[in-house]
Amino acid sequence: MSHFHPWIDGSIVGLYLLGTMIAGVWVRRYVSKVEHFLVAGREMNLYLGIASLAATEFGIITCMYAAEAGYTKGFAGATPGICQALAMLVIGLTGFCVKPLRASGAMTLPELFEKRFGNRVRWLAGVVIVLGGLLNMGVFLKIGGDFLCAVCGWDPGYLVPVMGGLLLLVAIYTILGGMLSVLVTDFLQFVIMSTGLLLVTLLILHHIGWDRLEEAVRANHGEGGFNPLANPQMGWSYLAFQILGNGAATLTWQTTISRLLSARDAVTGQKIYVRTSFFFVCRWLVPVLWGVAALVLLGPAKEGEPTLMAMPQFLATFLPIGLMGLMVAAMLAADMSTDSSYMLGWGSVIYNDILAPFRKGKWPEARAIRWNRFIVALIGIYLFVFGLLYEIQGDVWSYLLLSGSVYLSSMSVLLIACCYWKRANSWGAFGAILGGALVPILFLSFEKMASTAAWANDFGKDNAGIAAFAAAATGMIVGSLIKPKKSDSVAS
Amino acid sequence: MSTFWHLLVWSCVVWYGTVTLLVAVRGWKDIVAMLRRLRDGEE
Repeated sequence: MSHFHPWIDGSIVGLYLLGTMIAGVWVRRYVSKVEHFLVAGREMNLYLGIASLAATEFGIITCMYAAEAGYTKGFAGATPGICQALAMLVIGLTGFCVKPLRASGAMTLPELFEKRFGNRVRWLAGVVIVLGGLLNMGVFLKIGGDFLCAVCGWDPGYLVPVMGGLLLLVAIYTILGGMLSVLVTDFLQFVIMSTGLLLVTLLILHHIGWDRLEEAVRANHGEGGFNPLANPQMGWSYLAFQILGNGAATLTWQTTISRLLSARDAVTGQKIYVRTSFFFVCRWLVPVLWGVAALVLLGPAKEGEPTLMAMPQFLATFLPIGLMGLMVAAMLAADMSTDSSYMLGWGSVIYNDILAPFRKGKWPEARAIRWNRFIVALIGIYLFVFGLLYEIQGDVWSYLLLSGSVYLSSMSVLLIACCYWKRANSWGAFGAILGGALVPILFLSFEKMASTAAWANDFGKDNAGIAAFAAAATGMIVGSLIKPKKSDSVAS
Repeated sequence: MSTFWHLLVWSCVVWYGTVTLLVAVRGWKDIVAMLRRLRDGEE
């Protein structure tokens, strides 16, 4: 029986939603140019950047898959967070790729690629980014709805109207205010989300205590619950894929780099990366701790029981009235900031890069903003339809990383080659895009077909992800080397 | 390894708590400054 109180907790949630909507809709008056809509006029400063990046990269789905990792793998489940934090710290300190990217003045990655590889590569890169991103984002809504229904004790029949209503609210302020609304609401959402996450974590540490948490992990997972290399579900291939995937995400994930591109300058962008880096440890370890707490109080899952739902079931009966409302508001804040940034992030690529060949000359600002709003609305409709239909096979994080690697692999190879390899050219770019996209798409298709599902399961998502990076890098090197140089062509 | 995770959990709580307070104050100032610059730019 959930402790969610309709009046007390419901009022806290209602107040949060009202505040967010007022703030989000109010700043629309500052949007007069397409640059305001997509990158907030490049006026974002350091602390707002930290709030926005942190809020965007933590959604209900993040909390669910990280808590599932804690429940099924113990503390070792937080390994991806450490990989991403290290990647972000190193990239922020060195400016690797992100410095030339911000200095180029581009609004999206494909816009930078056009300068080196031509307009066809820009268009194709845009398609791959949107395909990978939307496939990834498509599962957010259903998992968020499952969480809310479990925590609040609602009938699963409420999932569609509740998540549909939430999506509508997010769509309204994102469509009206673009990146400006996203930044302002992200700030509010960061404060509420962080307060809720910290209070629940402190309550767990106080009521359950470290000794019981450690004991449960040791009893259920042994040394593998603390050391990823000793865990039979993880090992070297898991670690290698996490390092590759999280490094590539830090360099190329549209919602992450859009914070860099919205920053006032390259130095501010790098500072945002450095100072947000440790958040990525918290982003994983806090929900992992919640998952371990679920293991203490609920025990291990029985055969066929969904491990994803253990953490929300635990929270439903663990949190007292009042804190329950704050936690639900925190999770809604986390989800709304993620949804709005993702809608705008992929929308900006569709407008800026995929539609680029169809725009004759520069569009008037009002028309450009109207199109961007239309695209964001279409993404909202897609999310609503696809998000409630698709069923994930296996654990959620591996699915997200694999579907994301449709573009992470090829785009990271393209970006590194674009910035640092003089021989890189358009043939290499096409080769990298083809190689990087083909492997994850084939793997996801094999996983869905009855005749090949067993083979796909044996091969594993981690190996498929590593293979995608290897295919992208091979495509870039081979393609670039076999394309005749201009001087050779002229001579021949 | 258990001590490593124990220390990391408390580091997260302390760091996250501090950053939340800092960002709540300085982030608000950033928003006001950003909107002022955008308004001045329009004028």
